[in-house]
Amino acid sequence: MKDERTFLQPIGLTLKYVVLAVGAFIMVFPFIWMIIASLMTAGEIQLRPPVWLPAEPQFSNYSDLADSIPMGRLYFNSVFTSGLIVFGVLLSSSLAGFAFAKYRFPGREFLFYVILATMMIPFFVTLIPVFFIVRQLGWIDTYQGLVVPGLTSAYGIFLMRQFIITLPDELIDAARIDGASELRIFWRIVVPLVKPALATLGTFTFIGSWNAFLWPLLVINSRELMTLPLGINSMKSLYADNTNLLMAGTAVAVIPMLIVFIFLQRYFIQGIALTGLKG
Amino acid sequence: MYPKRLLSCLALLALLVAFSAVPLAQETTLTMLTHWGTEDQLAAQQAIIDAYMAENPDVAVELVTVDFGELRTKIITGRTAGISADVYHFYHLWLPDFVNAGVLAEPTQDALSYIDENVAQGTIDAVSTSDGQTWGYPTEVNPYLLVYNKRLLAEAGYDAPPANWEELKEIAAAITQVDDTGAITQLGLGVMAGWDSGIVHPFSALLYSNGGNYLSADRRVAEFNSPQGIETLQLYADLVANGGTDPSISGLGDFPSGTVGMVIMAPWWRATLRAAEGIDFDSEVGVAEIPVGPSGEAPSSIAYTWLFAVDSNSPNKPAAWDFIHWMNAEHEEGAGSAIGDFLVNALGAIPSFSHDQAAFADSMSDHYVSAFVAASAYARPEQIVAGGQEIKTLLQVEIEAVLTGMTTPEDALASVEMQANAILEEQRMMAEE
Amino acid sequence: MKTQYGVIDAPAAKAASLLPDMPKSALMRRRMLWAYVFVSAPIIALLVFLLGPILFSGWVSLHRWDMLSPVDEMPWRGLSNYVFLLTKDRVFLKSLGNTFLFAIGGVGANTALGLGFALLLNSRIRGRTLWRVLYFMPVITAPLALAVMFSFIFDRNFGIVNNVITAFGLPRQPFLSGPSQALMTLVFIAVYQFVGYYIVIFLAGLQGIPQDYYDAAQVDGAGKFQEFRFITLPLLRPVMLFVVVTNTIGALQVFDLVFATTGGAPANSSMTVVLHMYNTAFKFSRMGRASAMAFILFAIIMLITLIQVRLLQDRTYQE
Repeated sequence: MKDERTFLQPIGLTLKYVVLAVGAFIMVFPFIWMIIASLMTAGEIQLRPPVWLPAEPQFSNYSDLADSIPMGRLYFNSVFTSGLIVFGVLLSSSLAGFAFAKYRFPGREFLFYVILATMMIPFFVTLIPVFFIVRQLGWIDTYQGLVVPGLTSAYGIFLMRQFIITLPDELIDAARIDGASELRIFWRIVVPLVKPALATLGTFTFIGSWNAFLWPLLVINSRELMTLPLGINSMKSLYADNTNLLMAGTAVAVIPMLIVFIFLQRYFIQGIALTGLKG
Repeated sequence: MYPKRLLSCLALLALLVAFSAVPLAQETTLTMLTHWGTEDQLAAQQAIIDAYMAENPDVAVELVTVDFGELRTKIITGRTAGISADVYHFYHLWLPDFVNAGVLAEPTQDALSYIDENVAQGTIDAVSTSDGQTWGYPTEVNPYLLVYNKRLLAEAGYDAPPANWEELKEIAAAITQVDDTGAITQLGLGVMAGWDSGIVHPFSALLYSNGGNYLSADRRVAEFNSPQGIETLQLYADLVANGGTDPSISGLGDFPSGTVGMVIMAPWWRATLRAAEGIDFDSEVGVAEIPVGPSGEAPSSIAYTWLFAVDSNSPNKPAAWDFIHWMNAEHEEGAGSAIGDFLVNALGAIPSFSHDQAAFADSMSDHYVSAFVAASAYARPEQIVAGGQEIKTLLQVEIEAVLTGMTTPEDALASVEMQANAILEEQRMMAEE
Repeated sequence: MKTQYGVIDAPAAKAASLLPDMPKSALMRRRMLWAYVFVSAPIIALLVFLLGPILFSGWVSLHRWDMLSPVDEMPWRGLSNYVFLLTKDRVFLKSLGNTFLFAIGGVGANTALGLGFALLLNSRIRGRTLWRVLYFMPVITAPLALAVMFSFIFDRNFGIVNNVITAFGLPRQPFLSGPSQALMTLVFIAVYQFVGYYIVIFLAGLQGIPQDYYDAAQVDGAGKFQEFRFITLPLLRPVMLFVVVTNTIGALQVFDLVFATTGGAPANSSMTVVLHMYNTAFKFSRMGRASAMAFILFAIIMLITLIQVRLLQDRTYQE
């Protein structure tokens, strides 16, 4: 038995690398093909028999984009709205989580159950009424309409409560004896101790709002307020006859985020792993 | 210390949010919503707007375009949100829904008489509700005809396009080529699955050429579930069975690449066909009348229209109508209008106004557009009715189901008829309530 | 002593309010106030944007409403929206079936592949970080971008997949444009998008299993398969539960991907519930019917989640 294993090991190990490499190739290939196609001419994409590489890379495809797509504006809108949403979710979740974990007040149990219940409600159930409410508030086609409904998260409150409840009460007592205010306790003691949880929640919220499509599609009308996914959607019709430009536009919308991810991958992946265990 | 900073952060946030809501004070600003979204179309529309603004410095016009698939949604959601555009360009099938919901403003008396004097009655009817009220400036008139690839027909041994359904089936099957791997390399008749008009309009054109009706004349009940209608869908089933057509191949995408023999299409396709690499526009693109069905007597067709109209909530209705009028009116004898120029020369569509039809006659005299101009004389306008879009979508799906062998012509039409009549009745009740 | 963090019992609270001069009570009241301050904004937001809307949605689902007419003039329709959906709306029933197939295919493949690759990465492998990064790239990419990329990659005419398979002499496939292939192609794209996420989750779960268990098993002479069957799988059950439940909930709500690739075509063979709901609401202006659809899907999601939790948890207890 043991002999067999050592004999088979090199083969098994090679096989593992082969499987991993094939999987990784499938994962990365669409991105590579997007970039290759974005450097072709419109004619090369439709050539029979097909060509696999552009005869001469058409970098001008990328400069052509600038004339018709306000990429800077799309990026600003995405960064601005996602940033506000992440900030709002982190702040509201940790404050409420802190209150639920470390304070006693009438109605606490009831309110917490309300939050648990709302956690189960899928987005689409509230889609129509929230659209209606945002409309009543006059927030259609504004940043507020895009941002405000996303500023709180029942899941975020739950997650932060679960983390904050594990902090020892003695820490908070000691601070109170030193005369610290409640806000100061929150900011100086609680927040630093739950940074990993905040990173997780922040990562999750960021990916969600950065990629959100259905809500912005309904709320945003003007070009000036479009986020990146809406930009990609409008490029689909703008470049219906120019797949090469469509690919170039999509690449510009996607690649910078991938680069950011590669630099921060440790935090992203650690954060994600944490939810699987805590959730 | 920190809490303070936190509070100032919050205050800043509130300020930012508040400020982004304040609109900048300006002169009269009009927003125009259209679906002409490709780069060339955007540039052409912007040129028209710039010319208008040069003549009217106190008016600013903003152009918003959305994909055709989202246009109706945008009009409705924008409207509910109270931030609707001032000027819409939309498909006339939606007119009754919009009118029932109070979306549209009645045109000025000047506008109505201008339309009355310069547009053919059939086209005016297409942009009017059943009470006779006209709601806007009609733009493109799009009848459907059989567009075919002369080279592919000749290679299959035919020098004339099909005149009836038997010939259509025969020629379509003869053009289709399947290679030894089972791949379809060439297809007889291309259909346009996944696009409501691309499926339902050609079906209607064939139905009309088979002596059938879509809705009753008073538009109270659906009439496509008739022997003529079943024959029309049976034609589709036969074409699938003999290999003449295949819904997985897009007539829209593949005809220009020269691998599809025939498509039933509208004139605005000219720009695409001219630019196509797989087919030579001048020598290879042919246009013929819709083949006549076994129960039909003469070729017929369907034509749909679009129109410019003004939102009833617009604070600048006179300015909006003035802008629409400026775009559609002729400013110099024989020069045609700005929109006419755009429709004819950028799209290849047929304009509604007589001065545009005259001014751009030369551009419409090529073998392609001239055939459609002739067809526009006899094509039946698409029947518009409240709930029409929903009925059309239901029919589209059932036709696709027949094309993919998922249902029979009889079941398909019976199912849509039942649902369509329920929708029509419900809409009538709603209107009465 | 928990009392220090606030008021616990009614008498104390009463005493505090009666005797505001007492320093301790004042302190407790202030703390309680702070707690309300902390909680109020998110609670109000949740009421306005979640709980209120769900009640409103339920109310709308009993009416006919085009969203253009005033709310107080909606004609009452009772349960007829629900009855229509469950007995007459062929598109809804079809989309429900499609959505189930999409979820079953996606969840099955994601769980199997996610666990499989996590096991590979958990063994002695070099460059674990690099592999993880590569597999994770689609997770952070917008579904809209993936939809655009794959519409091109799977294009019947010019897509590279068809170019490659026809170069090998195989027949050209319609993929997203074929009624029998569209849904499965969407499943492939969805698995492509999320498998990296589940690999990371499973990997974290695997790394949480103490090495002692495996050492003990090896002393007992257990083989690799037995280790997997009797140690890894049972201890991974909570993670498995998380993966299956979250993935199912997500898959049943798929929208972006379908919207931007097939739009439900051909012949609704790839229509999903949320896309049909979007069309019903915003294309056909039937808010009541769309709301009813949302509730039916909500009920189904709750039911499936409960069943999954039951199945996956019960067995944990048995073992």
